[in-house]
Amino acid sequence: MKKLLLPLALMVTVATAGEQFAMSDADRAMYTEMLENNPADIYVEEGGEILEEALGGEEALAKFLGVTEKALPKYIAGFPRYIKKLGNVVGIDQVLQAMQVEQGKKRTKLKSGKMFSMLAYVKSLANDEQFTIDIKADKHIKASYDLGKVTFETPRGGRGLSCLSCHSADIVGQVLRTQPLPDLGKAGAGATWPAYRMTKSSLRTLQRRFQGCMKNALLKVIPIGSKEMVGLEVYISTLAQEAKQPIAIPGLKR
Amino acid sequence: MAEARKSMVKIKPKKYKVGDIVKVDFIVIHPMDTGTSKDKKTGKIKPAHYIDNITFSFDGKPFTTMKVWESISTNPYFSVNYKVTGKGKITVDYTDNQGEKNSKSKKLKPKG
Repeated sequence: MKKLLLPLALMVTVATAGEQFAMSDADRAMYTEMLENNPADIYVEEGGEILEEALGGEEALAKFLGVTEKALPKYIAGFPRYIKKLGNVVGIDQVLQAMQVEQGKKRTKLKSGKMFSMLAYVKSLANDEQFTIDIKADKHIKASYDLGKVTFETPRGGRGLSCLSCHSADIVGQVLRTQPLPDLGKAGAGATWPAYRMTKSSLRTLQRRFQGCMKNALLKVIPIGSKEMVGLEVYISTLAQEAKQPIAIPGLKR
Repeated sequence: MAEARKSMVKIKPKKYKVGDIVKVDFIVIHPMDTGTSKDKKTGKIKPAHYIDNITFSFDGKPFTTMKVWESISTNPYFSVNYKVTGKGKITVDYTDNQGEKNSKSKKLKPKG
């Protein structure tokens, strides 16, 4: 009974919140204008410099992944994917770490500003491309997708909340904490992170954003780069893929 | 003194000729502390730290100066219009109230 009541209570608060948004339409217009002058561009540029200095740039990355430099953007648009060399479904940040290990360098932590910048730069190479994640390509990516879906839908924590509590198709467009709830696919959630997060004044990645949400919803925080997190990234990215949202990085979030 | 700030100068549109009016955008990563907020870890009030003077210049000749206060947001951007007169370098010098002095420049290359 308790499990049923909690989502219901949430629905009621969501429904009675009214049209009280945190931002007026004029403010929202200013935000879209700011996309042209995204502060995250600085981080992306810095990420490119770090990649060039520390790892040998795009050339080395293409060589590591076993593709030509010309095919690199299309290949990056298919991440997270199964890499035979690493024996796992991995995101780009983990590929960068593997490159560092191969070259005998010190690993950059997955949850560090440097890694976020590098990841944003590499992902921005695939700008304007469509996602090319093929979940039927092999059993590993299929398993990862399934795990991501389970993680998305499983209620956890003291309040029994799951990602689906706020992001199911039924409650799209309603208001929660003065924010309209978006359709994750149509909003291109997978395609616009890493993004500049206004409330944190810094660059955040998709997996870092998941962590922030888990913390606020009183769920146990899953570490970046774990199987569940990569699975979630696969799941969210395929939602954007189905809605045919082109990759546009860095994004700008409230 | 802290390390050099990260900043960026953009010129829009990308292709321009002599005589065109271009937008010179300047973005900087700066905390812009007002001096009223507390540091969450130590519980002490963070001293005010904000950009107070910005000068846009072309080949050493300033064409815009701005006086700025702490009410500007964190990581701000500033945008000015400029009429292109020829090849040269646009430099943005900025100082803050704690005495940091930094600058960032970008080459202006008109075509045609």
